[in-house]
Amino acid sequence: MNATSHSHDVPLDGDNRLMDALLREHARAGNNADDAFLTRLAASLDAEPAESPNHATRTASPALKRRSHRLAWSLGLAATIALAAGLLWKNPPARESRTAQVQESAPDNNGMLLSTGFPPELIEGTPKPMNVPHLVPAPTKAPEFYVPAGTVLLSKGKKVTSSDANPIIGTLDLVTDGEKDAGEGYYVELQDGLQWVQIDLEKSAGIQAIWIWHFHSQRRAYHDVIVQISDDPEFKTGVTTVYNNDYDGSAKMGKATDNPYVETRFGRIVDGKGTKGRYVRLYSNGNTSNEMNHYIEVEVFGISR
Amino acid sequence: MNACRHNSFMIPDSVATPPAGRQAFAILAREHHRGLLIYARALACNEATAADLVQDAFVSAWRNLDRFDVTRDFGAWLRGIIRNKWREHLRRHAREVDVDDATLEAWEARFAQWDINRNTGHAELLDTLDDCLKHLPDPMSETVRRFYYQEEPGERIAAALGIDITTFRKRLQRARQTLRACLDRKLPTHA
Repeated sequence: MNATSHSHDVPLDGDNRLMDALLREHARAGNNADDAFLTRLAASLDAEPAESPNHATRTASPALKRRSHRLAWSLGLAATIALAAGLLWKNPPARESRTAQVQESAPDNNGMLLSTGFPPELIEGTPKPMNVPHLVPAPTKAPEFYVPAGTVLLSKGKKVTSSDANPIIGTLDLVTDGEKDAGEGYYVELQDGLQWVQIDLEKSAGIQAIWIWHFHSQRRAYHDVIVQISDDPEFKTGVTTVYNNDYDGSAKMGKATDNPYVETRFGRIVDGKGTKGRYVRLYSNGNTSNEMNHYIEVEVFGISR
Repeated sequence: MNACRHNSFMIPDSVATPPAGRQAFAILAREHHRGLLIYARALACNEATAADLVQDAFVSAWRNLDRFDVTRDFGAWLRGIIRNKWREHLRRHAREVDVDDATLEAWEARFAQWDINRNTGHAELLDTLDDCLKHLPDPMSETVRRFYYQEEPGERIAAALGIDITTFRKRLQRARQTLRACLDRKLPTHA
């Protein structure tokens, strides 16, 4: 999406843009804290090295030490005030959260709620009939999926290769660029037939989840969605299939264990089951609207080893 | 303590960033994140990018806590970090457009007003917005509800309301102006 238009066809001036942002944020997460965001932030901070240059034991002048004491004191005071305010403040009635990212509390036993950013809804064109068996209906809210603490996004900016080295539309780097909008310039289109994209995580990891956005500006289901993990870049040895909805066996890659699903802005989460591997490969074979294969974004979450 | 260390002593983690400091930082994050998400979204016009900018800004802030001037406002400091992150983002995404300095200054003034009661995590701002939304005239209210809260495309809303797309855009613009004026009236200003 163009930065200045933001679903409007005309640029917004500064004040309008700020009010637009306020309304969108209010619509997204209501009046309360965005717990999914805070959970993700906590995970990011947990991933920080225990001894970063600025936090590790170090030498310092007395002035710096005084400043550090002031900072710690200020943070403590601010925290106390915020806690007191939080206790005194009457919570407003809960709002319905359309993104369903907000959780009341993370269950202790199941780790943390996996969260990510979602693109805005963009529906264009007339959807074609989706004549596939056992089709999972489109979700109306974001999926909830719990992963072990310490799980992080591993795939952002990582190298992507494909069975179609010269995509028709877009480039392969769009698959891991972090942009999930459905518009032109945000997706890569591979030729028809069974095609794959492969993400190199650069080192082996315990993969907990693969979150996939094929295309979501038109309701459709992709055929033969198969997701595999391996340490072999050729996928000849040590291959684990974690998702397969090839209901008619046409891809000849094993029996379907999953059902076809409708693409939406919420994407689709595939359970990585902690499978160890450096490479993630995703297959598809056209979709219910046309014969082409598309990827807007793939996010691989896991725990680096 | 060894006399040699009087001029160059060690700051252990427990002083520079004690566990309590991490907890305090988490509370500050809770207190500021919604306002910062609004700010980043105004810059980036994209939910995912905004969340990434704020996330990265908090991590940078945590790494550089010793550079924070405690006489300054924490939110203003983080907005500065977000602006830097945004400019880094722009260098990698040439198609996106920067915001001019005058607009940034105007936003800073607006946040100075909105930040007054940030201890409640900007809840007062958002509650006041709720109230203002309830008082929008019907045609504007319907347009705002469908566009922002139900995320319907403009063309579909215009068709459903029997208006053309230009009228739809004008209605949205008028609604935002009305809401901004309402917030100005209802929110306290700096003394």
